[in-house]
Amino acid sequence: MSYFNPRSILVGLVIPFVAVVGGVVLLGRSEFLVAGIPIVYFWVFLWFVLTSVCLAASWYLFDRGDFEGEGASEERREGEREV
Amino acid sequence: MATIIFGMIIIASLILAFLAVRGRDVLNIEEYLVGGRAFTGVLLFFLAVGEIYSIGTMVGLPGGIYAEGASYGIWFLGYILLAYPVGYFLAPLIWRAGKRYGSMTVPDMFKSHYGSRSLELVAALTFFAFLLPWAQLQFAGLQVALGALGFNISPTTATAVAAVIAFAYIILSGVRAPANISILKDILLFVAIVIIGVAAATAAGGVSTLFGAVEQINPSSLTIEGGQAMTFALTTIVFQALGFMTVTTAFIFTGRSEVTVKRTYIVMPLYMLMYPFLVFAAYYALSTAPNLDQPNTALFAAAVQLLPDWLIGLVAGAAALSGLLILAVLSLTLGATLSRNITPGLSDTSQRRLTQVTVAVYLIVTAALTILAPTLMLDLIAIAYYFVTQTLVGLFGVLFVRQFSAPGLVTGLIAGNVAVLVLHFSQTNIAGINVGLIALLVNFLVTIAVSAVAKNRSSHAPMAAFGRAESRQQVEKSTT
Repeated sequence: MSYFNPRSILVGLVIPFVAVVGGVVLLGRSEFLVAGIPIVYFWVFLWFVLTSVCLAASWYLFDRGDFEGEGASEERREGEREV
Repeated sequence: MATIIFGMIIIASLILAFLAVRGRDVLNIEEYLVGGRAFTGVLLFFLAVGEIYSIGTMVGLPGGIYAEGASYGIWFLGYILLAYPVGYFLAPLIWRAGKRYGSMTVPDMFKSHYGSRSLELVAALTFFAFLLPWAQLQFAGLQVALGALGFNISPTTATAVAAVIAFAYIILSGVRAPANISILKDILLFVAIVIIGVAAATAAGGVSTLFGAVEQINPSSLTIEGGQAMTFALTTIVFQALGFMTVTTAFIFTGRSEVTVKRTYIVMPLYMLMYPFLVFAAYYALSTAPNLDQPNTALFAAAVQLLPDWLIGLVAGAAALSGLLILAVLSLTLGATLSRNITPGLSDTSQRRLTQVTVAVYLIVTAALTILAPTLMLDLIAIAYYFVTQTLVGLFGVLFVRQFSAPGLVTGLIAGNVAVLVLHFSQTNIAGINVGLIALLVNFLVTIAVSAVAKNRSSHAPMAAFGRAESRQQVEKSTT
């Protein structure tokens, strides 16, 4: 499947899933507080930002060239058809 | 004062709806339903956020935390968060299919991709089963919010007025009105929740003392127990993160390109930064008012305790717009599904007219059900979510899996829905695993098995096959 870049999947999908699900498993029972917040909540809150960071990394490091390059090539193909 | 602010917000939303008509050929069905596939990233972001965070955000999450503690709060936050990485990878392909086939609904996509009327129908009916209870949830949420905030409106009047306003939003310009209103709604919702959360934390003397107070009276509400509660939380996070893809497709078609859709998903998790404040408010309610009759009023109970009158008006406005906007978008989706998938072969004009009529009928029916049988649909909401997620297999077929055939997907979808019914009503508990996830597995296996016998004869390649490398090779071939 050419659509997927394995490195992009790792950074944009696998890391957030493992971090959030794994974090809940490891920290869910803990009564420890971070900045006054139960640690499992703190961890999930932190991933609101880190998930965006991961997706941005996927986009700028791996996907951007492919997608924007592809858009350009599609325009080219359509142009050829008209000719 | 609260009433004045509230009224001003509603009027502002109506003005935004009517402004959306200007300069658009709103009689064109593609313009009406998917905004001509021309929304920029910013507008797409606001519409997406507008469609995702319904009034359930203010009612369900604080209510769930109040009643069930962290296990509820964590799966709720976890599944929405993880829906975004899933969307980042899948949504551009859904947009691609929409563009390629001219689809405006998911059953549309199935019809064009597989050329199968039965698949289109079964999928359309599955969506119907979701859209009815989901609308009633909005009406019920509106009643809870306005009642708890001290507005003296009878539930019947509130529901009737809400239906009329939701209808007014979309009757003229279709999806462009909700898109405009969502900007106002998204900002108000964020601001209102931050205000309540900050007020709660301040009143408690800081976040540490807030959670410290909760620990004194209800320590178990701050952690997730091991065993089945944990299994349920985890499987529900995964299942709903996947399921989210099937219920939030409407806005994807309105984007102007694959790149716009993909980039929008990058920033969508950041809107969730309102949730810490919502969590603070929920726990504040839990520690200061531990004996509420209705847990669903937890957030509003905190707001009434903490905020001055005019801010209550702002909170009410944010809550009302959240419910109304979703009602408008849902009825548009339902209208589109009916006019395009249940009664096929209509002209553009007839489709638009039928959509408008369906929207009215749908709002009247769900409003009437809310008034006459308030709990009927709410009992169905969990099961409805299980149903609609079963369309994920078909989505995978269109996007990735060439081997899935229409007969396979139809039998799989029916098998999945039947599995949901059986597991739900027999109250089967398999190690605490989410029932919908088991049904989805059944659905996948049946689809694979039947597709192996009744092979796929569709000539369409899955969307991912038009991906990066291949499209480049095609270009190279065609230029040499």
